[in-house]
Amino acid sequence: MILHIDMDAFFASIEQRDDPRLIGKPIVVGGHSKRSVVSTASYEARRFGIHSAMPMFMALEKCPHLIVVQSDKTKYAAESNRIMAIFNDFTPVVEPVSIDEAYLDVTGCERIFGPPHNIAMIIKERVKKETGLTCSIGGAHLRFLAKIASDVNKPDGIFIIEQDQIPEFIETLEVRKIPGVGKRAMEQMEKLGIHTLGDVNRLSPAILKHKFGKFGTQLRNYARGIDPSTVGADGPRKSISSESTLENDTSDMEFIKKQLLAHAQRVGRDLRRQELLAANVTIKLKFSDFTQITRQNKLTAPICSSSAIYREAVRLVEKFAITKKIRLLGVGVSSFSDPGTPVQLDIFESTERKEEKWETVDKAVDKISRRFGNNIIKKATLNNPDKPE
Amino acid sequence: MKFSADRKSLSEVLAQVQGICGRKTNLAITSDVLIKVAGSEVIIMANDLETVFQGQYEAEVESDGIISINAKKLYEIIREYPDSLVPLNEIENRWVEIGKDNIQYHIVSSDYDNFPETPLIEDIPFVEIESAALKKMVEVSSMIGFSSDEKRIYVLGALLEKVVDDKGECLRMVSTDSRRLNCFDATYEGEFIVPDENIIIPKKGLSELGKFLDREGTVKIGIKEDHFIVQKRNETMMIKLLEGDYPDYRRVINTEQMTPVEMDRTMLLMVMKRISILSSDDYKSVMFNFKENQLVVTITNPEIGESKEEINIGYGGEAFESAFNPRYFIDALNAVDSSTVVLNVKGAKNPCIIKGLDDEKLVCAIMAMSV
Repeated sequence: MILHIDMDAFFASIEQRDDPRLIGKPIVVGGHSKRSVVSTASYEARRFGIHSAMPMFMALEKCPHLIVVQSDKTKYAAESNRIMAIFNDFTPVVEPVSIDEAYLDVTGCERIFGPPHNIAMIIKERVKKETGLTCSIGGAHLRFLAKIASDVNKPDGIFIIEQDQIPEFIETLEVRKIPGVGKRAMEQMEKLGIHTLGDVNRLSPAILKHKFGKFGTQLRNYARGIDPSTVGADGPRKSISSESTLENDTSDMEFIKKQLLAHAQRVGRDLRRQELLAANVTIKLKFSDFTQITRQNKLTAPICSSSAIYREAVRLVEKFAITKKIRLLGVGVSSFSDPGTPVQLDIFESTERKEEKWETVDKAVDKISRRFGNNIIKKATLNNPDKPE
Repeated sequence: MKFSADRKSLSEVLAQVQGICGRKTNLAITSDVLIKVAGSEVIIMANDLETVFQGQYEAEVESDGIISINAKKLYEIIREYPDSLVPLNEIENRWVEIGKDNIQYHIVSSDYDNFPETPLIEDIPFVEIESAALKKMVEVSSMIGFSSDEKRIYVLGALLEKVVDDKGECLRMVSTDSRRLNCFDATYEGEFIVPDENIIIPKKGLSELGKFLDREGTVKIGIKEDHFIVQKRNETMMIKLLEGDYPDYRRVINTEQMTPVEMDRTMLLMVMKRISILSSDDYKSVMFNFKENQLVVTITNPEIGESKEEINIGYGGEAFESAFNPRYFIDALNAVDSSTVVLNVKGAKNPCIIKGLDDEKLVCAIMAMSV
């Protein structure tokens, strides 16, 4: 049995929990700037037609007394970690899909916690007790159905599809609810007279393949109750990155460098917390015309100091001749290695790894930040309100 | 253009240029060979814009002319041709007829005007060097390769130097990938005039040069502006030099502060081959534990297991432990010509410098790994 757990209005609920004055009021979490979008809307705000990803100005038009709360990603991430840890108490097979959503494979856990519905109830109670937040849980033997099920009784609900209920559920399941069916696919479906997943079974595989390509084959499998995808426990991370949209599009290199430094520090901190070294540095730039590029550099010696990540990121940006204003930028690292594994030294370098001194500084800063907060100590150049922290 | 040439020798020449013509460049025509026929001679050229081959051969010529034709297809046709003499004939409009009577190929050739120009080789002060020595020098240097995304000039190319010391003058080639470094010396006849800039020969060209050189006789070498030129009696290879800095390799191969340890070359080679059985991509380091009169090598691969070998050596220095990639030892020991090798060592995180006991020509430096 696969459970899909989705937190209810995650960011907004956290804010309402932490500030009782917000309870029962339409609030959204997001940025205050003119370019911000809503990241989460409370259920009260949703009644005004406000939803995630809606531009903030539009949300304010729909609900002028809307309360906008500045998002605090660090707080949400900490909350998410607490919740994922709770899930891990029930099964080792937990696959977080985003900050507020995870799949759990609870097959075999019935003997300890009872039938799936019971497991879902215990999880909900524990989440509520330990974090004060509510979630919605869906359960099914098929992964895609578990996701759909979690939406059925949302918010604060449970919906389990038992094996023998699957054919009936599929027959009447609206196709638009299936993950992957977007607006354009929906138009095609309408033309073909497909409204429910059951309708898909009445089309020939050839037509499905022709109209929807690979997704058509997947749809057909779904319709026949086949979904081979399993819940993957969190494998080792392949990359760490940080990016942000700028307040204003810019081509000011000094400003860009400051942003890169801030991102490099975040990425570096994350890297060092996981005790990894990275041998690949990537930058991502999105321009005012929404085109985007990524550039990467493979390093001969793996690094983990923020200064080294920053230096490589700046080198990559400078190498790319920027002709357009930048809208978004990001820094990432990958090709991880364990600092314990032997590293081939460079025959022309001195015997120590060059970055070690900065790594020591960074590790000290990390310790201070962990104890007193991320903004308590930072590079002097970052001491202005434009930081993306 | 119409001529007939000996199938075997033509096939050998074409085999030799496949490397040059097979390389991808910005110009499609670099996959061609240029065939120029004049008098009683056929000139064959290949050019990948970096490495140029040119050879002159005798042939039965009926009429002069020039064609530019795909090197791979021409080679395959000629290699499989049954007679000892192959006729080539440009009929019209760049159509080339190969063969006669009951075997006939018609192949489209390209416009030879587009074939890249060959650098002029005139007034070059050549020096003479034994072909076998140069071949060994080139092989030892190309042993250290580079990855496809490599950008450092000193890794992409090998350094050529004239070395003058109390033993006289010699030619030296240094090759590195910043993990290990090989340095090979060879003597020559004549006065070698070197430019002020570093001579850095691309390793791609060197691997072609390795095929070009025979194990006997002598060849002439010279530098002309930005080309390294090697000349046999009727064949020439020109390699365009790279421009860039070269790190201070002399500091790396300086063994003054190091402790020498003599070992039997074959014995150490066998040890390295056995120990590397347990190495994998993730675990390729072997621990070398130098103690008084003993060397213990161990490898631990958590995925497979571990192994350990003890060797008696004449070592009286301070005991230390250092890690190395055994692959590099195998390569170096295979290249050394001496039955006894000298390992120069100096604590952890330092290179190990390998030389032959009675052969100072080759120096192999292998950098340690940090553990």
